[in-house]
Amino acid sequence: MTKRWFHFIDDGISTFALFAIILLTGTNVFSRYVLNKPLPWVEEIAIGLFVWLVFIGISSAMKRDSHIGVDYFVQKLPKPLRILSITIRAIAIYYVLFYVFVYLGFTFTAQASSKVTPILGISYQVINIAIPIGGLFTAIYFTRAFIRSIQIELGKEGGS
Amino acid sequence: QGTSEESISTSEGSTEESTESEGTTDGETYEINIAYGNQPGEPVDKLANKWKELAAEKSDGRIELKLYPSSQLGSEKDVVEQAQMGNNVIVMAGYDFLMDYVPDAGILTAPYLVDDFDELLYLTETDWFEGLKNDLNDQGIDIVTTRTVYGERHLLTNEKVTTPEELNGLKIRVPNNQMSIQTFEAMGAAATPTPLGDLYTSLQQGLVDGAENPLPVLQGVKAHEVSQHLALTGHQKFITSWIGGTSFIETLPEDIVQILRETGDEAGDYARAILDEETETVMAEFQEQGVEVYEVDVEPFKELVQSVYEAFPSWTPGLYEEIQELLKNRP
Amino acid sequence: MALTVVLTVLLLLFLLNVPIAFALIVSTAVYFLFTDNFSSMVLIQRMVGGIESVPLLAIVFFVTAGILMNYTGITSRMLRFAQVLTNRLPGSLAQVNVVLSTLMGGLSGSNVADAAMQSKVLVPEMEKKGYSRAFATALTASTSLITPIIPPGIALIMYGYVGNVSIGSLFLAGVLPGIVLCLSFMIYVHFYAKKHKLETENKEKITKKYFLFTFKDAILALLLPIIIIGGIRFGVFSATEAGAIAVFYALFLGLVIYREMKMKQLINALVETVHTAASILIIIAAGSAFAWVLTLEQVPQRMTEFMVNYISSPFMFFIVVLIFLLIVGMFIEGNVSIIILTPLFMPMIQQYGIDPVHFGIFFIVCISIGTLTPPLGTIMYTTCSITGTKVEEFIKNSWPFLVILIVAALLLAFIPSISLWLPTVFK
Ligand code: NA
Ligand code: NA
Repeated sequence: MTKRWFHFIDDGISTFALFAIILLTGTNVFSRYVLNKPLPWVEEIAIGLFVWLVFIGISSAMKRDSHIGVDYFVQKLPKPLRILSITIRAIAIYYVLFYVFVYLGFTFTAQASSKVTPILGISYQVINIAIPIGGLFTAIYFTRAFIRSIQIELGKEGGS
Repeated sequence: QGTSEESISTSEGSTEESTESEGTTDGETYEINIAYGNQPGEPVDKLANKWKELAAEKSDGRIELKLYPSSQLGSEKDVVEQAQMGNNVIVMAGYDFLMDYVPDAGILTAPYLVDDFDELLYLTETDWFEGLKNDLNDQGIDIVTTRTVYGERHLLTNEKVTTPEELNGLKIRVPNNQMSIQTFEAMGAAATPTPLGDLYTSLQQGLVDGAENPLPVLQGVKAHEVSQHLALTGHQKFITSWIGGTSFIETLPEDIVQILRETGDEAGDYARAILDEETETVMAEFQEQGVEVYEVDVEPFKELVQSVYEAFPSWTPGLYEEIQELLKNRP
Repeated sequence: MALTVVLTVLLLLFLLNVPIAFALIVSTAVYFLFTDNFSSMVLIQRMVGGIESVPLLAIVFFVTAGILMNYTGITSRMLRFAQVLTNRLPGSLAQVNVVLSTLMGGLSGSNVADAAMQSKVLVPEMEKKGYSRAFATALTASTSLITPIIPPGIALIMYGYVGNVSIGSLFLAGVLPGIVLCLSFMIYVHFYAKKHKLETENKEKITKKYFLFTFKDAILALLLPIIIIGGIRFGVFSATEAGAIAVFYALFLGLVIYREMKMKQLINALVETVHTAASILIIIAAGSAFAWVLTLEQVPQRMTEFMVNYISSPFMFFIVVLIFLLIVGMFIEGNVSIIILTPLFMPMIQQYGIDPVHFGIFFIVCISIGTLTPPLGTIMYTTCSITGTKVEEFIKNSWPFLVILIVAALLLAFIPSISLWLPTVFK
């Protein structure tokens, strides 16, 4: 069993990012309009947090099965084919999570050593590392859901 | 069960990654992607089209440039990165962007650095610039051509602004880079980086009080319909470079690279004449549409921006003096 | 060739219920196997590049604001106000359904959220008053299309972002078309209710006191769209920042004025936002990478050339696009279509001299209509699964709404001033 805190770590990170983005953007409006002092660095921090929000948020969405897809055709398949389709689906998802997010995402992050944000000079590595991390979290939650759905399918078959 | 699939997908991944382009043999056609942020019809686009035409002609059709205007392949920052990674793309990049890779490159965009474009272009022919090129090479970036004149940046505002006092505290839209922000902060304005695409509405709604750019760019986004006071501050003279990744350029035969560089320079000279014409046409159009144009005493602005030359700790110490020395000894 | 394989893989994965974002990523990755010019790492870069954008922050803001509406008691006050407004009309609960979507349009940016909420809240009530479940469901689904057109709207933001069109102008442009749709639905509902004798008996008059009470409660929430448009118009904040302001405003109403929200609910609302927004934004990221491949293959130019060769008049162009989008909408989720199709349309509408703001509103309406039809209409499935309506029953009841929507789309196409009048007036 995963620990309780682990269950919420993705939600925690992405919710914090959301909270900070809203706060920063509001502050910038106030500073520019009321104090006549725009804060040029807000944008790049907000965008950096936004990348974290999205890529870690993928995990939060996976956990709740809220990624948008179409199960219309799969529902119409006979059972053996349905299990096959669940497997192909899982392979596609693992391919994205491990090859694209974790592997490519990590390589992409590693090479971006001289790429920095325009004002504060923050390395893009700090921003992009969210991609492999998000991929790992998502893989963990997806694996749990995947095992469960296989068990349900097999259970159904046994029952009928 | 999950873990076995994990390892399958990762191993699949690692075999795939070796599909990079290898060296190629002579006699075949070289398709090269050319990317830039400007819109079709702008001087930069005309430059690219000229380059395409010249390169095809000089190489007997062996070079085929495929043009991607309007940031179609990504933002300047992203396509520079694509190039650096060794992908097949040559991209127009300002020295303000190259500054992230080699800090000293940024001085070429510093305010009131030179009196005219010939001085700037001269700087790109010096040994000092040769050193920059080598440093960029170490970062995986190859400068293909340097002779692109982007334009002289002026100030367009909602209210009349001709002195630093009048500029004080005004929100001026600048591109999102350190040099522009430092320059306008030094001149007393509140530098406000926003996307160029939002400029028209930002000016109209008073989110910003003014903008700065070469005239054809200001005209391109129709900023003059809203802001009708143009101060010829000429605070920055902008030249740009076209860069490719060293690892990509190395895959091309020497003669092909040579033709690319020569025709790139040639196209740059061609487009400079177009830019001059264009700037005149735009100026006439501005005046026709009621824009007030002011000649400006730039001395007080020049004095204010002196602090900018000290604002970049990553620059080689004495860089500004070195540049002035080079210019003084210009043949 | 490469493109054919990419599209085939996409379609296949799509049919196998692979989440659309993941299907887009796999098929884009397949493209990189075919090209020597770009390494696979560009795929990741284009995904990140696709979301590294200030205008897109607005999507998160407006999703947050929309979700907060439910937690802060704003939605329930809007519902009460809509009931008061339509009390005297025949079929008043059906009218509430129309009006509520319009009112909520000024607060929320997503039609799926609107359709889901009203399917839960209104459809059971309508059944009690004698409406058939299928009619109530079809009505809820169709009227939810008003929500994204009235500012703020996620679709408007995305179209503006991808097509480089002023989001402020698009917001203004959506107001009248939204109201036109609202009135068209109200007229249809009026005759439907009379014909089927639904809530036609004389009802108790609402007292002035009660009207003022509900109005006072709703007025603060109704001020939000005015604050948004006014704030953008007078340069207080940008269209993106307007989203953050909307969040602060919703919090202000919930915590200070209505006092219905507690800290725990606030956190719940933020967590709900995060996974809702992430599931939209990852599609945008993946869609950007996919669209990049289409651009690299110069698909937009080729399609534009093709169109311009065969269709000479803007009139025919609108008709062809309408039919095309109705079909596309039947298969593809609206936001995905906007990301992928906007760059294809931009050079075309330039060729035909069509205003991008005008086209944007038309585009968003057309692409939404397909979400009400089989085989894959997202809104149809969402509402049917919540209310337990059979798809066949839904279709039987939804065709009059489809007719209304198609007529509305044609009006929007051929009377540009419906969308362009407000942006011009406020210039
Ligand atoms: Na409704
Ligand atoms: Na809306």
